[in-house]
Amino acid sequence: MMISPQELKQQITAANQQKTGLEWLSVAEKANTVFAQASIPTRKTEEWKYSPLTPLLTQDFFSVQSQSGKLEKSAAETVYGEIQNAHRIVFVNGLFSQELSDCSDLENQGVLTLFSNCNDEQRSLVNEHLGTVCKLEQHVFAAANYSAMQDGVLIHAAANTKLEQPIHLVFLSSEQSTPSHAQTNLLVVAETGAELQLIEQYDSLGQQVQLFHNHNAELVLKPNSRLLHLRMQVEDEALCHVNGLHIQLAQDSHYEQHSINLGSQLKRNDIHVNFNGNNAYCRLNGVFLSKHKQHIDNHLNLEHAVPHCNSDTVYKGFITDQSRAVFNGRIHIHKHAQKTEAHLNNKNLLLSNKAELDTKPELEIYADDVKCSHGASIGQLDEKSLFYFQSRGIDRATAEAMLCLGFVNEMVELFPNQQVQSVITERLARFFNDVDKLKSLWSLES
Amino acid sequence: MSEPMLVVKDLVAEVDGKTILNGISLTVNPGEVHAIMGPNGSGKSTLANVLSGRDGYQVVSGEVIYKGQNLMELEPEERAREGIFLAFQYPVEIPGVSNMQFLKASVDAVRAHRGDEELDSPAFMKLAREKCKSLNLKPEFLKRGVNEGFSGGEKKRNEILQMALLEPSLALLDETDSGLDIDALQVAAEGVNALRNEQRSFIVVTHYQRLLNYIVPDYVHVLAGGKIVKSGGRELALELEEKGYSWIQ
Repeated sequence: MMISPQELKQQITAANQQKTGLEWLSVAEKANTVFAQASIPTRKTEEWKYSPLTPLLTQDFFSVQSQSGKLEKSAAETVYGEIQNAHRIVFVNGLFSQELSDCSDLENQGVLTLFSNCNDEQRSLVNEHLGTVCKLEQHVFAAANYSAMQDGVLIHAAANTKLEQPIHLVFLSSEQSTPSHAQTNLLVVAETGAELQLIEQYDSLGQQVQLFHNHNAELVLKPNSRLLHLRMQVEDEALCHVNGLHIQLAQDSHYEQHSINLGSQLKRNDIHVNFNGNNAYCRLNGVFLSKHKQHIDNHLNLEHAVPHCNSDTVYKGFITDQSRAVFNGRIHIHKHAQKTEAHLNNKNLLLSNKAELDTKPELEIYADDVKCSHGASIGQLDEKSLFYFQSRGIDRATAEAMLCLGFVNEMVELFPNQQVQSVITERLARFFNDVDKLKSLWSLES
Repeated sequence: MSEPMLVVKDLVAEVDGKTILNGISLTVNPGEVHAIMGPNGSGKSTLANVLSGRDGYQVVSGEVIYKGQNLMELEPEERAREGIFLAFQYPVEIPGVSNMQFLKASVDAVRAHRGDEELDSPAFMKLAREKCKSLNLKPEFLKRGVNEGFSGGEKKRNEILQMALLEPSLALLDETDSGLDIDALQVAAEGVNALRNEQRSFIVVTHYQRLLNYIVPDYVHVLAGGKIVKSGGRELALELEEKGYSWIQ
């Protein structure tokens, strides 16, 4: 049975009545009001035009809040254990797991804490920033999230400090017998001159993970701070995931993101970058893959509001079977943002005539002294390259698989972390599961 | 007398309805090196492409017998596994697939077909590094994407490297000299010469005589208008260089 968007809104509102223990969050009340006034997106909503919310209208995710359930530590570690030398914080189905996490050092230093564990000072830091980078009016799921999140993570890097080890944030989901929902949040405040690395891993243990995960993050980069952000969204395909990421860059700050995003029943990524000070830099490298009947939607928006900032965005898409993918990348150069240099490109490989891709690179320029480019392409496997493989004795199916892996791997190679690359490689081998042989090739070391 | 490696009989081939090869006949015995020379557009590269099985070439008539079997019935990868190797004039770049991965997949496929045991990764890497060294290629070369950002010389040496690893019976070199300076040419030629033996045959397609100073052929054929218009020994190439292609037309 399919419910109406209005009924979905009622379900979410009812679910959000639960006590969270985070009543001190000043943004919650505003979020409540915003959500009450907002409408659930439909196909007539421009920003959601190509991403129908059918899975949310046909499955009841909101009657039940997710439970962490019983999870063997050894099993959980198979998911994230490969990444070593990192401070680890693990959520299971949206709930923090003390047992699986290993971040007491950072907690003691006051660098990392859960919203639910914040002291007064940390509470006021959260209240100072949460909801300031993310425009709730424009993001209905963020509004829902802020009105009743289960918990959140605060990362606070003190001025002029460098975190030597990355923070590894794991959102693990596990097999669920009934559909449920989870709402989590992340706030990163990098003070002046701070430097840190963040690895996000959204992953699953088992199959048929019927979870709606609504996650929202705000990253505040103060002057001259640096953040390297590696993201893996490699969950089970039964999952629905709406993810908002809102980044604010002050003068001379540097933000670099590499992401891999596998499709699922419904996956939506919103990334908004606000340039707030001169000489800030942002790099967004992403690759998304969808197969079967998966859906993945990537919405990027770069607001160049001030002069002398640069951004480089490269997204690659791999779309096959009956899946559907969306890329919408917008660069907005405000009137006073002179001397901006901004480039955005989206390249796609569309391998099936039943698959669909909607790509829209957008460039809006109101300044007159800028260097910008944007583009998108959709292609198929190159016959010349396939013949090259065949002329070396490699059969066509393997050649096709290797070319696909190559197309994706070009982005994976850019992740500046060998351990993360190796996790991705394993997930990709699983994604391309008919090409077992390629896994051994892939791991060839030289 | 041993069986010929390759017999081409009255081969006529078209591209997009246009006749490019117009009755080629050629017999190559094991261990022989044949040079195919000719002006631009004479059909030299087409011959190499038809033999390797590239799409887009229509064989209208004639036959090609390789080691006693009809070559035209085989898929390109089957030809490669049976021992035919084409060194490309313009090797493609394949970013994201490392040279090592590509070479391993290729050697695995060919060895499996021959019934040889698969080389494990360490053994393969050792072999590949040795071959690299002999071709004056740094080991890092194996880690890079296939031909990605390679110089012209590196691309051609990579072709020779593949040939050395695959140990073909019949190697087709399509203008291996184009885009190479003298030093690179010598290295490539040495790589080829190191592979010459009594069983292995070569067809060397070239526009210039220069390459044949380094890879000395047993026979030289001149192609013009899709036909072999003159055949001879090594000296024919020198004569051509002196007199130009207009001499034979």
